[in-house]
Amino acid sequence: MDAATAFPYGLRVLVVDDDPTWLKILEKMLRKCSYEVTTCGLARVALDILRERKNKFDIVISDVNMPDMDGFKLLEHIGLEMDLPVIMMSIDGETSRVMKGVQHGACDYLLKPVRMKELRNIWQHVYRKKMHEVKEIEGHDSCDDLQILRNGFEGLDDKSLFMRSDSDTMRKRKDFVNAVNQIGFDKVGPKKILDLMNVPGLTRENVASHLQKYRLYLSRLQKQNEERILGAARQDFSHKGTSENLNLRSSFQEQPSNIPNGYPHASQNIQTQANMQDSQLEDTKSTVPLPLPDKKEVYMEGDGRDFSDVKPSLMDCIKSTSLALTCTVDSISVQLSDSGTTSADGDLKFSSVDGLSSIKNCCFDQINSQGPLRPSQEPSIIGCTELASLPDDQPGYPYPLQGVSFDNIPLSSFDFSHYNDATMILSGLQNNWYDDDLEFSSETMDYPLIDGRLFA
Amino acid sequence: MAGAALRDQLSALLSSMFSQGLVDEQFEQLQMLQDEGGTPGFVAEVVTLFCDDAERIIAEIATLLEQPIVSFDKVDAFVHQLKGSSASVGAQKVKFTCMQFRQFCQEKSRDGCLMALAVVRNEFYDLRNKFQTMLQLEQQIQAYDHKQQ
Repeated sequence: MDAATAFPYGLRVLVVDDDPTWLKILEKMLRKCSYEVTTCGLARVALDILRERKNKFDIVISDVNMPDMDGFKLLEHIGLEMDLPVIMMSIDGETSRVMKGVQHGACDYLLKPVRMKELRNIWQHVYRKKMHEVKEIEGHDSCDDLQILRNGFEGLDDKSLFMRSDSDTMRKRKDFVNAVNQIGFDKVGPKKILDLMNVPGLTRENVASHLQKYRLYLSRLQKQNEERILGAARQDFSHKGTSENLNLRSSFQEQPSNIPNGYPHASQNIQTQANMQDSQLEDTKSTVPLPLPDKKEVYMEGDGRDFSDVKPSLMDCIKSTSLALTCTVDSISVQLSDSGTTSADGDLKFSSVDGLSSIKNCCFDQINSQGPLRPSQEPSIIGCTELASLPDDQPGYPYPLQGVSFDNIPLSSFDFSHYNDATMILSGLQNNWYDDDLEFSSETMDYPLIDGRLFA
Repeated sequence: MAGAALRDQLSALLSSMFSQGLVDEQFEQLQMLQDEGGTPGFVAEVVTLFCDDAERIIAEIATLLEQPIVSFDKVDAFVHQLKGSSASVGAQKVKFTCMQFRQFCQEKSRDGCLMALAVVRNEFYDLRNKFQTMLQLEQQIQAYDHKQQ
């Protein structure tokens, strides 16, 4: 790797600004920094681009004032869905605005006119984020888990830092997860895991530290999960929230290709799914399009656009979101079939649900038919509907947790023994996380918990 | 006209634009980007984009102010857009007039806004004329240089 191709050269930047003049100028300036630039004049389109080409960008620069979507909203979306660093820009440098930017998660706030030297430095935000992710997962056990983040660093040329293929490690990790599942998450302890794993040379300390990391990872997921649901439900443009949930759901899942049930690819199978109301849990498992061997294909073209005409009432939001939460297959089928048959201006083809109460019933009916996941699902739905009544503009921290307590969902409510690797509950996800067949990105890691919790 | 004369003219024009505060340092940055980047048409492109966009925005504002009931929020949003746009090419005077315009929007004064719009328009047209002259001179210089080769 020579100097010319070393990081941060070729940093992949997405610039979002409704002003064509600024787009042109920023593009020029960024190219001058030897960055790879993609410009976009609409926030919605930017989101589409990011969803489509998930791993193709390292950082996003966005203007604050845009006609089709508030820059802060875009910022939230990107943070939740893609977890990319976002820099805000504005000609307005008022402290309150800058503060709002920071509150919404911007890693920097630039004042226009932006100078070359400011743009040259943006790579630090990419680097910093990666470092944080590494630190979070890394323990004193060193590089093992860096491999998980390997694909999150796709853009960087410093892959050598993180490359490590060690099938022995992967096997150990798989055994670890199996052991945890078998014991039951809440009863787990290093000694028990160690005994179950029965790996010569593995010490209790190894296991203990790994368990610690694992717990941190899960709690981080849980937190992000909460934020996503709350953020998604709060959106003005409700459909966006909906489509995000759907996107999240349909996109993250990756199963090894050797799954016994042979989960079909989303695009083929979903459309043939009947209403899930009466399906048994087993049927659910076999029809949910979890294992998508090619992750890239998951984000269907129509994702964001298909919902562009949904009435932006919060009611609809909850309808859609609740539907999304419970009628997994239905929602996906709507999503994907819409992408095929609906024009950009098409109607949303959700099965119509009148009134929130009937949705709740619908939700719970489905939940009831799905056995052990019920307890974990209820709070989520309730959380969503309760959020419907929250006003859009909350002072202070953007994610008020009133009426929602995801903390009440103990992980032990998942009855692990019911599920094999092929399911999408936590254990399945855990396996996904560790599976060496997966192309795993740091973004992908964030999704599993959502699906495991909310969608049966 | 000889190449040198053309160049002098262009130079004088730019000088006066700077000294009169029509354009500021940002415009200089654009010139540098062009020169250092080796892309001769860059400034022309940016300037053209700005002029088109500004024209559009001004027309929108005018339409909004003609309504029986004026939506000052929308007007303000457009003015803010124009302000941002003008900052991109370093159109200093236009930018300042936009800032003043926003005051009238805050006060929700239709008359005030109409007056401010007139001022913004004038400044913009003035700048646009100068930009057009600048571009013409540049083209002539290029044509002249090309002929010399």
